[in-house]
Amino acid sequence: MITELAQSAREVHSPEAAVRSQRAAYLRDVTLHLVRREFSTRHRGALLGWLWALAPPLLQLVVTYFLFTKIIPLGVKNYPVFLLTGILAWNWFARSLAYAAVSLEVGRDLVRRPGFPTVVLPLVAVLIGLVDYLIALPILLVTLVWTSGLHWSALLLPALLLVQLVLVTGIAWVIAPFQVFFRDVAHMTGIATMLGFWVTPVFYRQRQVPGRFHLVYELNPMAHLIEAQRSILLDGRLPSAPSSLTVAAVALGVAAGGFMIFRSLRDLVPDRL
Amino acid sequence: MNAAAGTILSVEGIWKRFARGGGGAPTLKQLVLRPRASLRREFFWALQDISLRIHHGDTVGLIGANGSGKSTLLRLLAGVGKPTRGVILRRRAITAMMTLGESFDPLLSGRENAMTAGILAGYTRRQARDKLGEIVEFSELEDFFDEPVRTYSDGMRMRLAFAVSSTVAPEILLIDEVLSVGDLRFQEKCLTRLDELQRAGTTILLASHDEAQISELCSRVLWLVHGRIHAEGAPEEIYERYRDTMRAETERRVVGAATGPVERSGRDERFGTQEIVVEKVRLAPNRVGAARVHEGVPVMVEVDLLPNAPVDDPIVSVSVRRVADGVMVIDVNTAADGVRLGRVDRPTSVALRLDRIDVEPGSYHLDVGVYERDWAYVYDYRRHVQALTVHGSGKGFGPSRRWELV
Repeated sequence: MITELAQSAREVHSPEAAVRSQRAAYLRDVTLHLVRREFSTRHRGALLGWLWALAPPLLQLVVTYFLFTKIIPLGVKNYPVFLLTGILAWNWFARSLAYAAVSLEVGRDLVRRPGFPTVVLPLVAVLIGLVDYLIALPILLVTLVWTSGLHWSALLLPALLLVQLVLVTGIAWVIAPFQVFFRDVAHMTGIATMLGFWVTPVFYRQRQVPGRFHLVYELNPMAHLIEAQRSILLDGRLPSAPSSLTVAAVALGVAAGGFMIFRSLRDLVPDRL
Repeated sequence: MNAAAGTILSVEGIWKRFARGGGGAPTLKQLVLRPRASLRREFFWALQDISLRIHHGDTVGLIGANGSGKSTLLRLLAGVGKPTRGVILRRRAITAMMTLGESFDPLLSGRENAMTAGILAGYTRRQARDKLGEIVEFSELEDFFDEPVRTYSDGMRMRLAFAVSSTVAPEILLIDEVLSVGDLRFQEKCLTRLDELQRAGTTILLASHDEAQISELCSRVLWLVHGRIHAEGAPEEIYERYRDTMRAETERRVVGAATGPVERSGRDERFGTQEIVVEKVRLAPNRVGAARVHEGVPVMVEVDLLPNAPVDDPIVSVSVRRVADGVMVIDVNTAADGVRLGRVDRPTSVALRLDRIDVEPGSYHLDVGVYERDWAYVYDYRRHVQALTVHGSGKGFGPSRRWELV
């Protein structure tokens, strides 16, 4: 029996065996397994299960909506959808980085396993944030259909999400290993995303910001991504091409740089955990 | 064993340096306030100039005291972390390492951890799921398989670790001090499994304190002392040197020790550093003198330990010798049975319960020893500390049994 087992496993590992042995397929399987595993454990024991993923954005939506229509009216058209677009995209960004910062520490048992591809852990953190995003997305879409209607341009949403995924994963690859060396990184990430919430047009329109501050927004890729989402969802317009292409290029650059930084620090990580 | 098949793992002069005080990174605050002190840290060499070659199908044992670098070496061989200097060449990916504590996510169930291990070993979800039945069966964890691993005992964890790593059928299997935990019957089962894996051509590296296991499984033994390979060779040869060193170390310490002299008398032969002593040995229910029991009945041996100085995790051994010819009929110790005594800083009693005493009727002596946690030297060894007379029940003697007509 053992001989048989040994052979079947060997086939899996041998390079000439089928597609299974390909590195990419392996990394995909490991990544998806870890996302699934994290998702199922996070909501375990909760009566409402994964529905809890909806609670934070809904609460934020209700409070912010009340604040900026009843107390300090901003006069934004279709404010609920406008707001929800910003909140969902931003929450994905901020929560992913928060998970990613501690992903290596939390995944200590995995990092210390022989042959484990550590590089997937920050990516898993970002994908878990994406799952939260996708759980809440139907609410956004339903509200949209209900109010201003769905435009054909909404089909570009997956492309924008992909750009955001690439960008956030790149940042995650930098902060995750640094956290292992300086435990301040997680705190700094928290503070930075808190500040980022205010200097990104999440709940207000970028147009309302005085011109001399515009540079801050020009340099903020999340501002571009949120604006682009609003234009395809709310306005039914294609996002501005220069802005979108620049952001996509920046995202790729950040991911490539992040990957390189991660790779150069990877071997030092196990000793520090 | 199978040297012709070629080298599967080769290590050329590796060194590994660690910062003293563990992996604690400086915080930014320390870095800003005391940049020099936080960056200039004290280092020590956990491994020094290790070179070795492992051939396909070999089973190699790693022995040495705690902190001698066994686990560090295994981890580096597995590719977890990089040596500070030197190179490790692997002909095959190493996907299986058995360690206690580190190998599972404590919050997840045994099933989830087993699935993860399967996926990490390169199986698809379906293949990994198909293996689960076998893992449950081998580990005998049926009722606990869906409970979180944090609720498992060391023995259960070991069962899971062993079932998982041996089921994913690795080509190279690294085992770090796992086999000494758990009940004897399961250990036997593991040894049988390892034997099967060996025959299937799996290369095994085994770090263990258990001489019997190493001798039974390994064709070659590496003895690590302070991060260096102190000796290398056949198990019998290395263990002989190991015991010689232990004796020499004990004698050296006895000479240097300020506490208690070494007593020697004809009846009660005794040696050791006396940092902790075997004060008294009792055979329950009898309190003094020669204990007389019937064969096949339960026997309890109580050992009173008296520390002269606090001692961490001492090992207590009890052996029973036949007076007539000096043959040892029972030889057990806390380390081999996975029992840890913790810190002993006040008089402490340890009881050994033998469910049945299955020995030939006759006269026996008990030898009781207490050793340093890594068997590095002897604290106190008392030969013939207690006499034991076993009477026959007239029904023969032997382990619990049953006869069948087949």
